Amino acid sequence: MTEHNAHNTCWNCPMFEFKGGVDFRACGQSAGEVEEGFNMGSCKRRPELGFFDPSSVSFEECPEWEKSEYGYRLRKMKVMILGIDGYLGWSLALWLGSLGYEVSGIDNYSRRNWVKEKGSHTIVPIARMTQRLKKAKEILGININFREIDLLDRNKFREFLEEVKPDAIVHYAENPSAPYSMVDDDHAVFVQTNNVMGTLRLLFAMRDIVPNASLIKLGTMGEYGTPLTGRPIFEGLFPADAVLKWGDREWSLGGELTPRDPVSFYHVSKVQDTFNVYEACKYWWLRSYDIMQGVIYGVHLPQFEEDDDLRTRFDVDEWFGTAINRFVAQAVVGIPLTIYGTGHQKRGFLALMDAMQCMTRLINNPPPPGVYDVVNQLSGVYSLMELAMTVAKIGKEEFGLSPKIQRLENPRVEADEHPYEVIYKNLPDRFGFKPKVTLEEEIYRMFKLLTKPHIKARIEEKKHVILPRTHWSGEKREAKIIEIIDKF
Amino acid sequence: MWDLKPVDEKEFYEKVDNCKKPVFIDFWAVWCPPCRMMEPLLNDIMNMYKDRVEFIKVNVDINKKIAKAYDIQGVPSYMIIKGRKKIKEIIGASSKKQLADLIESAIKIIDSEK
Ligand SMILES: NC(=O)c1ccc[n+]([C@@H]2O[C@H](COP(=O)([O-])OP(=O)(O)OC[C@H]3O[C@@H](n4cnc5c(N)ncnc54)[C@H](O)[C@@H]3O)[C@@H](O)[C@H]2O)c1
Repeated sequence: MTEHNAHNTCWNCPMFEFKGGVDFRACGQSAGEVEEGFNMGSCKRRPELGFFDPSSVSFEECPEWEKSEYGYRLRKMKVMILGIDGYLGWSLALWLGSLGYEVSGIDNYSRRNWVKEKGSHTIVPIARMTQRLKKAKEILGININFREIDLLDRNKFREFLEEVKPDAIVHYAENPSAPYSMVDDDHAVFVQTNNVMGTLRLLFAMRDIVPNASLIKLGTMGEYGTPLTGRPIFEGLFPADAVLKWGDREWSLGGELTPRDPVSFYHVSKVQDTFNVYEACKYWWLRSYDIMQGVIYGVHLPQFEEDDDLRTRFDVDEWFGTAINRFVAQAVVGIPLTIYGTGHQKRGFLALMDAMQCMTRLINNPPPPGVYDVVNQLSGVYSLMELAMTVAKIGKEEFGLSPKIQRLENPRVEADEHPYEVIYKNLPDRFGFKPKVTLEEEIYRMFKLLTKPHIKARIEEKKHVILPRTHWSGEKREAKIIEIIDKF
Repeated sequence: MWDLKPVDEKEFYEKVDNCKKPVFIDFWAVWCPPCRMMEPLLNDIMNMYKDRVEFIKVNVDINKKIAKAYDIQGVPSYMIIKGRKKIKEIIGASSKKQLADLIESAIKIIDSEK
């Protein structure tokens, strides 16, 4: 089988340096004077090739790109993970490190503090960063170049970027919580400042220091909202056969950004990021994937099984606990699984290990310069009620628990009943992604881990911070119970 | 993929000069997402019109001289030429109907000039 990126060329490779810049015209923009013989360049790794046309060498042909399980990959590729202490950041660090990438990263530990602010703790205990790094080295043989840096600290971040000069940057370093952004104006301002300004700092730093590196930026499916017309949710940009009709004329919308309809001030920060990244690609020929990621669930990577200090965090409180993860924790300690509203809301989901596979494939497939590209990163769409039922069933049948489901008044402003046709073809069709983890299998693994006595005790301790108190209206009170379901 | 091989300058002029039919040119670039999005649609258009029109794909970065000769201002650009003469063009991603209109109206112009 041909690898998904076999036919990419030096256009996609961060090692190719265009001579004197490229005569690019942003799509639809004026070309100006066209110069001749401009698009030549050289390879940082293979200077012996001299100046050549970047289309003339493919990944398949280049000895610097070697075949791997996730497509061709650049030898000794340097990947910097921003937000490396987080749920996904730490997972990706171990995952990529085990595959042989040179991993570096920054974090300012803010997630640890936000969870403390809620009065909660990670249910799966995690080690301090020094211990994490030590164990990664001792047990997995991975060297992670970590620096405690706030992404908004311009000078410190630029110094580190200059030192490492990564080939790809994965940007996870944002506050990921919708309810946190809805607590009050201080929290909303914080989330938008942290997320939007952090990304803006990053974009300028990339322009100045690593303009050839690819940026893999995390957005969320929540950027799109749930259009009530039922029109499909495309992958960020309209396909060419989507047309705008007005009077008797029509135009293709191909390549234009699709509408966004965010569902919290956190989601608004991601939409703002989308525009900033899009512009930076246009102005400076940066290259980026903006990942509209579904909700990630799960606790499993093979690396975590090696030592408890290698595990990633896992939160279940009302601010940071996401759907499936929270349901399993609730089932384990015998409190009802909480559904907001009817529970008919549909969302996209992806297991942790499958998310790692997607990230690896995108890292291996840098876009050509100037390209802002989008993938909808999910492996299935489910209603929340359906998920709660699945968790309850597995808890009951496999672990002898007696879970209940409770419907609460919805603290959020969102449609309970809505059509949801999500297109998510890019990852499988263009990047060779095949999900390997089933929903049931991962839920089973979560129960296995969370029912361990020391972990169960940690959920018991924080039972009181799981129920939602943060209402989009600004009220702070427990949400009213609408219905308890105990037969399924 | 828009299953048509890109041409170089020599091939381009050979084809254009010897072709009895009008020629549809797709001016594209590697770094242009709308160009990629157009690929499936261009395949359909080619299948619809291949008896009446010749199709050519020109990478504007490799074939700067051709792009300059036809005053290409942005990509994607779709153009109908007869001989070396530009008949009609459309800039930017286009719907199937727009491309079909482009081809039909260009053919009309060419026929009326006969
Ligand atoms: N987990 C999901 O289900 C999910 C779904 C869609 C999108 N995402 C996005 O993926 C990314 C990672 O999510 P996560 O679940 O791992 O969240 P997380 O909070 O565990 O990870 C984010 C990390 O970034 C760090 N960070 C935040 N601001 C920083 C700053 N200014 N400087 C340095 N470090 C900073 C935090 O301390 C944290 O360790 C986020 O951008 C999130 O919005 C997550």
